Amino acid sequence: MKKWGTVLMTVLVFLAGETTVVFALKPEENRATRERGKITFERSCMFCHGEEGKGDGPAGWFIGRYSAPHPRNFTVESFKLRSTISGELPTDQDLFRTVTQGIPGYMPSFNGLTEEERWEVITYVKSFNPAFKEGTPTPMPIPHPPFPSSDESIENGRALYLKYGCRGCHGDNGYGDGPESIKGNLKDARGLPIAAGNLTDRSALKNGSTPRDVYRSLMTGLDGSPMPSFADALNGKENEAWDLVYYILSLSADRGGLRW
Amino acid sequence: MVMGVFDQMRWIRCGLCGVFLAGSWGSVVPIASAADSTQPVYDWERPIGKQGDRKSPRPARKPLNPVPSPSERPRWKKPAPQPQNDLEIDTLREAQSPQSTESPRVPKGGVVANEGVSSAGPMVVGRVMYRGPVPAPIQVQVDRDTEVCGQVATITRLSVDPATHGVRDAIVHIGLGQEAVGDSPVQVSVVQNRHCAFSPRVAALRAGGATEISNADPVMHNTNMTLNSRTVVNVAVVAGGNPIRKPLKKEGLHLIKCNVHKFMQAYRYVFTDPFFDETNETGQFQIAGLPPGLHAVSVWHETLGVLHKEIQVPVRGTVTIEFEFK
Amino acid sequence: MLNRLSTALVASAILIITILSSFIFPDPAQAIPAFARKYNVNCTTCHTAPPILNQFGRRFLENGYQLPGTQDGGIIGKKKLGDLSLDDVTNYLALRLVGNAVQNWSVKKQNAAEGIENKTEFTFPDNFVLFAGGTVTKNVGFMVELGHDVAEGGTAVERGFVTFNNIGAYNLAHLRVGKYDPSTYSSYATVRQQLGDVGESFAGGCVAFAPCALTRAGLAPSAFATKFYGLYDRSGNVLSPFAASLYNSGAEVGIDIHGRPFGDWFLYQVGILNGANEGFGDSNKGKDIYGMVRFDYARSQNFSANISGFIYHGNSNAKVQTQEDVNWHRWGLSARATYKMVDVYAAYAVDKINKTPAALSGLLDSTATGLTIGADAYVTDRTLLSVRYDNLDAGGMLDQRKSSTFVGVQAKYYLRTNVAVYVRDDFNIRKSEGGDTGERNLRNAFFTGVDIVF
Repeated sequence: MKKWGTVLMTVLVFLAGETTVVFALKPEENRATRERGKITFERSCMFCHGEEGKGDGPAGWFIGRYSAPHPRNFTVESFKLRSTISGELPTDQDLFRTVTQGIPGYMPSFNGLTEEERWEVITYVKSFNPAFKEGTPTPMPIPHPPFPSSDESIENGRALYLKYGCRGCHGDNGYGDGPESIKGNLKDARGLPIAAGNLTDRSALKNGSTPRDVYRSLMTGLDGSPMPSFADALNGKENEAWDLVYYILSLSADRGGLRW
Repeated sequence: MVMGVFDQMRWIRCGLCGVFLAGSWGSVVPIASAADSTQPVYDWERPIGKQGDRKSPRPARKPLNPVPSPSERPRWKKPAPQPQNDLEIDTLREAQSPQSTESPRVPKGGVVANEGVSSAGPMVVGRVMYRGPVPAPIQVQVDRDTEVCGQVATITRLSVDPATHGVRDAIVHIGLGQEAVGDSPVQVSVVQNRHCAFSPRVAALRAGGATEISNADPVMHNTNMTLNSRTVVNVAVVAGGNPIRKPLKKEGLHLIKCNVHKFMQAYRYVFTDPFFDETNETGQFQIAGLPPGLHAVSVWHETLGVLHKEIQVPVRGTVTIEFEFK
Repeated sequence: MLNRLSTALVASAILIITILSSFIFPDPAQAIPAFARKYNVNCTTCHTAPPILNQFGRRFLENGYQLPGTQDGGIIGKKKLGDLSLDDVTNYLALRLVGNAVQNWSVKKQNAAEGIENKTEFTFPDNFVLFAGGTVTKNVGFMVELGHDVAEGGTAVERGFVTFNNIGAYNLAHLRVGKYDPSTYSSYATVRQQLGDVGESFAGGCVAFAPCALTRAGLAPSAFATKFYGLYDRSGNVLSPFAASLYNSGAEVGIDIHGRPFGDWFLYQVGILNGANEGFGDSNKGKDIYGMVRFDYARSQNFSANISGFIYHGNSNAKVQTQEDVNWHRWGLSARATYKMVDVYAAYAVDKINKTPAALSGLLDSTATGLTIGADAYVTDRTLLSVRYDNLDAGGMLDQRKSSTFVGVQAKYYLRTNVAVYVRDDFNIRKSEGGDTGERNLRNAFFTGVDIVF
């Protein structure tokens, strides 16, 4: 009897320990989660994004000052870094990725928050925009590259870069010094002046710099900025899309080699 | 003995760890699973397909009518096309598609389904006027793609008929202060990039409708549609590509721009009810199907601003109202 | 007159060339300081106009250089090596080259007949600082600043301390040990200024525990200053009335604790220092203690405001010319409000001396006050205009003390967020009172300089 009692105790203790594993995964979206998310939001996010998520936090203005970018206004604005079609809200995983990786140059990476805290704060952030209640956004499938980079692919990509008018904003060599950008004609959805991205520095690519990430940027467009979605323009032309991706990546000197 | 048990339990614990985690992973939201590849590629309203899809059933659209005969009631007519927009070609294309044989145009409120009712029910007609100085069309120097856009782009933001002082392309809306009931078929508002301008420049449609974006120019345009700082759709449109359809679910004034050509601009006003109309070139509008009672009428124009009035709509008959921008 | 004009022309030419060069040379890869490297962000994520901190950067500092809301000291950017988590050294290090390139002094000579003397000198760099900071593991942070002051000569550890953070609960208590700026958590910190300190100059040949004539006033916030004439350190060196001291000294050795136990709106700080104006160590066993409370609003509307009040109790922390100890205390208020591009701040301090020796009673004014009010504004994305008003109502030996009032204005242009050039001018408001003392004879000081941090 005593032996079985010990075994039973051990089993119970073990099970109690196991329950902690469950919390590391994505929590349910309910009021309790949102309230915990609010605590984290007010400690970490509020200073840039504002108490009500309007992007009017006291620290946020200095990031762009009179120009873009300003911290996201969660209540009305569209989200830039997504895997959904143009005009759609991001998926939860998109938001998680942004919080975890940060946005190079502007938003630090918050992987110092536990995974649970990050999911909780995302639940709270979603509560700022009623559109999230209207349904779960569907991500576009972003496949892995069907073929590796090659000189031919990059050459073809160069021709496509010109054909699709990328140089108008991104410049002849991708420095972000295209005519529209230099003249200050580009404005974000808030009306703030915005500069076209400098494609020659991989660390500056906000949506990520793996081939899949660049493909995603081309397909989804960066909502809220002038960068459009090329999903329809490249519809049915998968290979061309990947050629363009490889050309864009070839503009930056990354001696680490392409990551899949 | 107890230690031995613990050692064993640790091993079993790790094994069950794997089982536990493997089971739980299924509930974690995937980024993009393999299952997705069997669904349509993009979640537009209709599946992307070949050219043939263009002839698939489309909701009723207003064809472009010739000038009505004087004997007809003073219905407004579609504004005459601007010289550079060359809409005659569109008219031809419209005529070729099955829908072009539709009955004469109806108010943009799209109360096609209530057609039988509207002729008996009350009608609000009127004119939007402006007697002030009309600024000359803005001339913008074009510094890129001049072979398509020309050296100078002419933007006419305010168009006033000299005889009647009627303002063209003003949007009139009667708000009932509640979600309007009544079906109307899904409207589609075309946004065409042509000669480096959006055509039509101003249009109104009902929420639930869609915008169809196309490019007739041999240069790249992007059609960037925003509503109150939010991107509704921002797509790169290639010449000769399939039209891109985007549903418009939210009401409000949508602004359309091309980021590559800064002088290109257009407006789409989306309403949740069918009680709106766009003025014709003599500033006339008409709205039908309203319930009787006191209603608020608003007029919007892109440069003149907004006007409000109240109107008493009778049970039957026509009520006339005039607006004058100062 | 000609001398002054040509100086101004030369200075302007340097400025213009520097600005134009940003257009001639292509954009090089930008080197960015330690925290920007580590977290992969621009300086403006934490700074309004460097080195002034925005509210996010504030909380980062208070959290021991961990992102606000996190206890990430063991994770971000680090390599895991057994039980160690070590940052790549570049994530710890940063360098700053700052100072006036050209200084022009317009001083009214002692001999009235000689009129105004203009002196121009090339002085870059005033200061070269190497700093290393960050986290060594979760909730343990550090900062070391090694500075070389070209004017005074010599390299010294200006500040060096270790922090133990989030003791007990998140933001309940953070412990700091070492040589640090006590005022760094208040609304207006000594170590973060837009208008840099410019030292005063004394007549040569000064003797220990004897008055030393001031030949030119210093330019530094009056609220932070010593304010007293006739105080000496333990070795008999005269304490400059313009030098920052006590709670605001910028570098004192001690221990302090701060936290926000009730939420973001309230901060407390208590600490204890060696004090006593000694280089290192404490020869008199008298410790100085201080406490500060701060109230914050930093939630939305692009607006933040905060107000701090502190009390500093000195314990035999200065000597008078009879070589006896006095207790020198201070209490003060500081406040800051920021709305979009405008940042307005102020500090007011009242200093009091007690335990005045009987020999000096009636000869020493035991109260002194200082008021500093300043404002910065970004008028374009890259141009910062600053102004600061300083009024020092001096105390101390009645026959030496001289109050002073200055206004400084500065225009700073950021070629990059980490490369700035500036022009600055300071005016003596009391110059019409006449007299030959350093506080009066400095009419005008013109500076142009560079601030690079990388």
